[in-house]
Amino acid sequence: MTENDAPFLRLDAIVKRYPGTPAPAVDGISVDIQRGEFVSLLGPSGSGKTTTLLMIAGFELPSEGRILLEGRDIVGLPPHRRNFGMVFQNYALFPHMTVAQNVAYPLELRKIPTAEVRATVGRYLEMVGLSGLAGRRPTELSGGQQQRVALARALVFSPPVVLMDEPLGALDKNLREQLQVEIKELQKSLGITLIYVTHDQSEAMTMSDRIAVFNHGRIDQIAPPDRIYRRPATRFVGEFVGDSNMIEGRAIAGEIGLADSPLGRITCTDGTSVLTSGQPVLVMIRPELVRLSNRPTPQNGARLVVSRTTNYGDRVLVEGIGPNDTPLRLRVSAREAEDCRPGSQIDVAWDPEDVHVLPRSA
Amino acid sequence: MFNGSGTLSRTLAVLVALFILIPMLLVAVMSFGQGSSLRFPPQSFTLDSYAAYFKSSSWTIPTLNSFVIGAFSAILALAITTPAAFAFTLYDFRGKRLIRLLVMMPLMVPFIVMALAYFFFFGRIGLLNTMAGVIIAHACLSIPIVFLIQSASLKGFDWTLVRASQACGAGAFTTFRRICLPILRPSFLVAGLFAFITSFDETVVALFISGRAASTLPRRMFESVRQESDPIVAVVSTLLFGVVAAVALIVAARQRRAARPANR
Ligand SMILES: Nc1ncnc2c1ncn2[C@@H]1O[C@H](COP(=O)(O)OP(=O)(O)OP(=O)(O)O)[C@@H](O)[C@H]1O
Ligand SMILES: [Mg+2]
Repeated sequence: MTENDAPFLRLDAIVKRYPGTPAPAVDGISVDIQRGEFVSLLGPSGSGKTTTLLMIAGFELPSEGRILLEGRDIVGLPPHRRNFGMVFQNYALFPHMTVAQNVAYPLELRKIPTAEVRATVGRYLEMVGLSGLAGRRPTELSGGQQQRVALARALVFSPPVVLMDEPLGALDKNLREQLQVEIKELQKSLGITLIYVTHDQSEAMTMSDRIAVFNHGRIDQIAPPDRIYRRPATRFVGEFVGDSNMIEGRAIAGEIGLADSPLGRITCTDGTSVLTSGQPVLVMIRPELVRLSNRPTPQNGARLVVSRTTNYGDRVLVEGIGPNDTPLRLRVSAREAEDCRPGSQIDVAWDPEDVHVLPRSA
Repeated sequence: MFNGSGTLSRTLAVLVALFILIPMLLVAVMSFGQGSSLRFPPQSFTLDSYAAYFKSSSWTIPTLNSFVIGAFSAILALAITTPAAFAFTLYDFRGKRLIRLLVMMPLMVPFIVMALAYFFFFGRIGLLNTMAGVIIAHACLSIPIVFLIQSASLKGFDWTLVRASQACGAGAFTTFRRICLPILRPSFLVAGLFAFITSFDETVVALFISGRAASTLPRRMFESVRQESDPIVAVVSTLLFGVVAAVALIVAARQRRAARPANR
């Protein structure tokens, strides 16, 4: 492979074992990241996201594997020679420096002339909306403002790759959503390659070009958000990202895209390749794609006895029990939910296009 | 008891302060007395003894010695303890608890025992009755307090700042110089000040090993009280007390300013 068609950043079979721990924290990860791409590392606590990020940054050494930037192995480079920007969850601003001095620090280290430093710092402070606060100390700023300073400090030297570890984890919901939009816009307009650790799935969904879903030190799936959501590769991904109904079924011999399940026959249009005869499968249907129906349907539908409803304001979650004691969840509007009192019978249906099938072993 | 008005606790505080201050005040009053011996209450008030103190080289030289020994032993203690405090905070290694115990040793061993040990040991290696000997001994004595203060400030230090600095492009040395040092400097200075004070008022070891050549102020005062009962002792005590009180007030004022939110 020549350098030109090498991916921008490649993690090649990375393994990390911390001394004294039985299981590896990162267990054989391979990812190719394109220039200008926004990739989220999403997964539950302890799944190895931070460890992976720290290895890319150079703060931890992989036990095995290579990290290639434009085809060059950078594992041997210390963090300060990698030229990557980094944003931490706790902001990590230098308390003895003003906002402007914090942002100027990476430029001073690169021996940029003072006048240019001042101009660049001004430009980046304006970009993150902090022009008026250049002379303040970090302790005199709110959490959101502090993280904007950290953002400016990580971007100011135009690093080829920027790494963020749950940068919005310490902020309240409104501020978080506001900063999500700002980070995404900065990333797009500056063409930054951004690797973003989060355990907040909606954050990963709204911001990323691709999401890597971590599970016990491995990546179960790396794909664009809609694909992760609609076509999860494993049961873990389907259950971790969004709400789901997982129904255990069995592929029917000699039929294409047809599975037997406790809820009756289910047809699907996607993932039919996993449906070989007799194979145990997992059928996934998202609750918001199940709808109320005014008559019973022989296929792709069921009659439920409502066991519980939960009002989330915008939608109501209805939990019911179908044939063979199979639980099924659906989300409906508040008006539709009026017909779904606990104990009542309802008919529900779904479209074959919205059904996703997995091999049961996955 | 601990009510909002705090009248009782305030009264108690004042009583304790008086209890500590009164002997000092007695000495201060005596320092203005007339005549060649210490007496209380003095018959009349003069500044004669103050003049005598500043004129007598048998007093000014030990004073200077004490400042020099205090300063150098503080620097030496900081130089030894700083790497140790970093190592103890950052790393786990074999024998860590044992070494910590050794570092704390001077706090537990009676000074008279240390003094005897230094007396025989320094006699052998030619450091007896030298400034260098007193500096080394005092540095050792102040290591525990310096180590404790530095360890506490390192424990409170946010180590992600080091990573943040490296991610900005700074190597280990630049990070230490531009991030760690400025943030840790105030508490390291306090540690150094404690080392200085430890040395400055240490008497037992100084009596054993400082000799005439390196006589410190406490040693000179001790001799004076035993031999001459000279009112200059009261002068020195008063001056020392004045200096310490001034330093304490400055530190307190700075802390109050630091605690106040900065002006926008
Ligand atoms: N320095 C370390 N020494 C030993 N084990 C570690 C160390 N750092 C992390 N681990 C372990 O490695 C595993 C992965 O940790 P990591 O911090 O990468 O998880 P994470 O996905 O970032 O989780 P979180 O969402 O909680 O931040 C965990 O089991 C953790 O206990
Ligand atoms: Mg983490």
